[in-house]
Amino acid sequence: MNDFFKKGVVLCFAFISLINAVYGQSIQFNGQVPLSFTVVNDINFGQVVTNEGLVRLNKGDNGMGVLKITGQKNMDITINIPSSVKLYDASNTNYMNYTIRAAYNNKGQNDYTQTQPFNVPSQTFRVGGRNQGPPAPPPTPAHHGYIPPTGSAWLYLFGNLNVTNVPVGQYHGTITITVIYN
Amino acid sequence: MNLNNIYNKSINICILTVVTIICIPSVIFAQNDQTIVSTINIQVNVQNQMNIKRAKNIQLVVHADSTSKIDIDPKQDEGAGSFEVVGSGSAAIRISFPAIMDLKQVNGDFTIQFHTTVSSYTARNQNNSELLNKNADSLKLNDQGQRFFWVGGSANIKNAPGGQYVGTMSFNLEYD
Repeated sequence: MNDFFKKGVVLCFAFISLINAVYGQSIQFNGQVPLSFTVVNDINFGQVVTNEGLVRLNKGDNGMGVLKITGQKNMDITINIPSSVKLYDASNTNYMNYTIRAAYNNKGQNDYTQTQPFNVPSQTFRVGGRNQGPPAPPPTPAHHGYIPPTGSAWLYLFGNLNVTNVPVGQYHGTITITVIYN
Repeated sequence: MNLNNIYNKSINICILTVVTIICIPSVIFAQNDQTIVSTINIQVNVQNQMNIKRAKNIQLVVHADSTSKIDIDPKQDEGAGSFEVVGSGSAAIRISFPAIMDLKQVNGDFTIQFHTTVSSYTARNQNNSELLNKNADSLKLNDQGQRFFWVGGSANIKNAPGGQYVGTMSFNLEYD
C-alpha cells in the first residue's frame, strides 16, 4: 500500500511538472507575431529585344521587385530565395534565365538606398533591428496582456536576364520565397 | 477491488497521460516553426530588333538670291526626308530627335541652322501624317511592325554664301 502511494505521488509530481513545462512553452511560441509577406512591386524587365544578351535590372530601377515582410521586432528571420529562375513564354517551351540579385532594408522603412546586400540564396537578419555592434537584448517573452512589437523589413529583387534568340512575346516567371523565424 | 488492480490502472493512466503530454510539445513546436511561403511574379516583353529602313535624305537645290528662307513641310513636301521603322507588330515606341540641325558649308566655315520638323503615320501616306514633338512617345507600330516618318524643317539662308551644305540628324528610337 505504502509503495503504491509513493509511486502514485511521484508520478503525479512528474505529471504536474510536465504540464507546467509544456504550458510555459505554449505561451512563448504562440505569442510570436505571425510573419506576413506583401508584394509591393512585381519584377518587370519591360521591353527587351530578342537576342539582346544580358539585360540588367538594377537596384532602384522601376521594374525592381519590392516585398514587405512583417514580423516580431528584433527577432531574427531567415529568407530563402532561389539563385535563378526561368521565364517561359505562353507555349511553355521557350525560356530565358533570370539570375536573381537582392538587397534588404531592415530599418523599418521602404528605402532601397539604405540596404544591405542579400547573399542569395539565403540571408538571416533581424526584423527592424540592428545588425552590428553588441547583440541586442533578447526580445521580451510574450505573456498575458503583452503584445510584442511588430517590425518590418523590405526585400528588393533585381538582377540579370539573359535574353537569347527567343521568339517575341510575353515571358513570365515566379520566384518562391520562404521566410522563417530563427 | 484489489489494490494491485487499482495500482496497475493508475500506472496505465499515468503512462497514457505522460505519453500524451510528451506528444504535445511537437505540436506546439510546429506552431513556433513559422514559415511563410510566398511568390513574386516576373515579366518581360520580348520584341524584334527595331530597324530603320529605306531612309531618304532631305535634298534641296536653292538658287542664289531666289529666296531668303527655306521651308520643307514634312506632311506634304516631296523634298522631305523619310524613313521607315520596322519592329514588332503593334509595339509602342518612342522617338526623340534634335530640334535644330547644323548644316555646315562643305567648302567653307558657314553654318546654317535648320529647325527640324518631323511627321509620322502608320501607313506610307505622307499627307495623313501628324507632326511630332521632339520627344514623342506612345507611338504605335502597325500590325506588321511598321511606322513611317517624314523629315522637314526651315532655315534662314539670307546671309548664307552659295555652296553645298550638309548635316546629319540622329533619331533615338526605343520601345516604350
